[in-house]
Amino acid sequence: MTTLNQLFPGNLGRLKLLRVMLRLGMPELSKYNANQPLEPMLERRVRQALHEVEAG
Amino acid sequence: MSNALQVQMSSNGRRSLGGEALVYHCNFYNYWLQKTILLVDGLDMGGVIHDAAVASAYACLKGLDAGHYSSAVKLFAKLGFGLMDLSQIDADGGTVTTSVSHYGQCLSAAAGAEFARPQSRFDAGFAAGASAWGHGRMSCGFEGTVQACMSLGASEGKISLRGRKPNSEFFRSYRLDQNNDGPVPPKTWGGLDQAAVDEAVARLQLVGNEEGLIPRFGVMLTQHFAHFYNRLSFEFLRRMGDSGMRIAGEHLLLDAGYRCAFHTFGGVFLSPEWESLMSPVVASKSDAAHAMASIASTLGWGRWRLMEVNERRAVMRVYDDYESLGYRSMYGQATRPVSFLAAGGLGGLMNLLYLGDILSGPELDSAYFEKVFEHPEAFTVHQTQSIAMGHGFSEIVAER
Amino acid sequence: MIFARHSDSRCQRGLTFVYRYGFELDAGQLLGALGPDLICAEQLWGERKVIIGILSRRFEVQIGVRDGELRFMHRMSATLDQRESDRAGFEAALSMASPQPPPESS
Repeated sequence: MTTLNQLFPGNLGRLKLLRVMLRLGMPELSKYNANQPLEPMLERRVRQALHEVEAG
Repeated sequence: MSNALQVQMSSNGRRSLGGEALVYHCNFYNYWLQKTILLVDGLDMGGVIHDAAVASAYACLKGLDAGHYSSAVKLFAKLGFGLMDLSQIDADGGTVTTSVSHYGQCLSAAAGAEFARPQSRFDAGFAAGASAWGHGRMSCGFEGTVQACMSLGASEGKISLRGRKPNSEFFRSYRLDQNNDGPVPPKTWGGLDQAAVDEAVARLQLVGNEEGLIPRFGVMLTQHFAHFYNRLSFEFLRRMGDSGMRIAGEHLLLDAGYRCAFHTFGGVFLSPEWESLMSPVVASKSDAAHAMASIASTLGWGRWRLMEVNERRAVMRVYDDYESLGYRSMYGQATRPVSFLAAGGLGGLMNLLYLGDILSGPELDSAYFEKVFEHPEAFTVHQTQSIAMGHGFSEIVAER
Repeated sequence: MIFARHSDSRCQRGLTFVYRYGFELDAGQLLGALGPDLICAEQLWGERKVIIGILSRRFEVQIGVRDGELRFMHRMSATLDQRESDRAGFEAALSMASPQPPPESS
């Protein structure tokens, strides 16, 4: 179980989270409790989107 | 290179060619802007990139009234986009090749990762616009498709062009308002007159070399169409509409400006050109901030003036701000400020000087970028006035 | 050592090299040694005059960017083999332009 803060640490992490939010079309991500573990299904989606935004 | 392709610079710092406003931007900005607007599926921003390039290239060539098809190829090279061969295009279309391409080859340094998609949509749009102009079609007369891109490992770029039907709603480039009724930029620094900086930067001849690129200050510059950037940024925000993600989109556009400033200003600060031009008149960090604002003012971005600058805070006004003027020309009066490049630029400038101690000559690498960006007291910026909203100048405050 | 070389690691990695030399460099002699196809020009950077030599689609040399410093920039079009060969040829020419004996290595 992972939290948003763990997946997106620091200032650079916050920007990556914005990119993931846009990639997934999920503005509600900005309202999630960043210290609360993500549901497994959502975590998979977030990780996949993170992989995509980290690619060139 | 014919004199017809001589860029004009007005006394207010506006650069233009064939009536089209031009602005300098680097491979970092070109990469991060493109990456940002392509994040959201379903907005057809790839199509916007293509069509904005079409409209800009077509309007510039038409405005130049250069007459000969080869002017398009010269224009592509002069502005730093690379080398394009349009000789195989006829009235029905054909194949365009690029043996050198800014978008195809120079964005990888900014990306730091392999590309999954071709990066040269701009080239396809330029080729389509230039060919439409060359064959007497309406601007939307051709559509370009990237068949091979050097960003994905191809040895040269290949673009196929085919005709498409007229579309009365097709993008048109606008002519930036002159903003003549706006206030005159004040003199805020005693180091060098703006006219002297304009002239000194002009002497550096920041135009495409024989392979159509502008390698300078550790980045690859382009002298690009202001309309193109504005269309990409503002159409992106418009198409996001009420998705709830507009603010996030604005943050990311600002981030693209930050990265642009960080790398371009950083490169300038570390360059021998800076030493030659500015060292004699720069005695402090605030001097350096004013000096860089005066250099930024030669890049076509509007006149930047620092009304206040110290280690905790800066207030910058932008006169003749190309982002705001572009927005107003395309979409009317704005309800929110839209100077994302300028805002990110000021943040980058302040972080470089006051957190990154750029004048001490650090290595401008990714570790340095991260260290400055992650600094707990990094500057944040907000826009307080905007020409796009009807104010006389755009104003940005950076604080920490 | 007659000159020191370091790669400019910023942005376009591997394209730009900076050379520092501790002798009075005869720019004309250096450019002349780089072949007849070299196109030469000058730029004014403030008060500083920089002498430029360009071998089309291969490389550009900017002499005098700082006191005792020049920049050697490969062109994007040049292949990796070509770049290596061009840089070796340039360093040989730079050594020849020195009034001192050639360097052992740099």
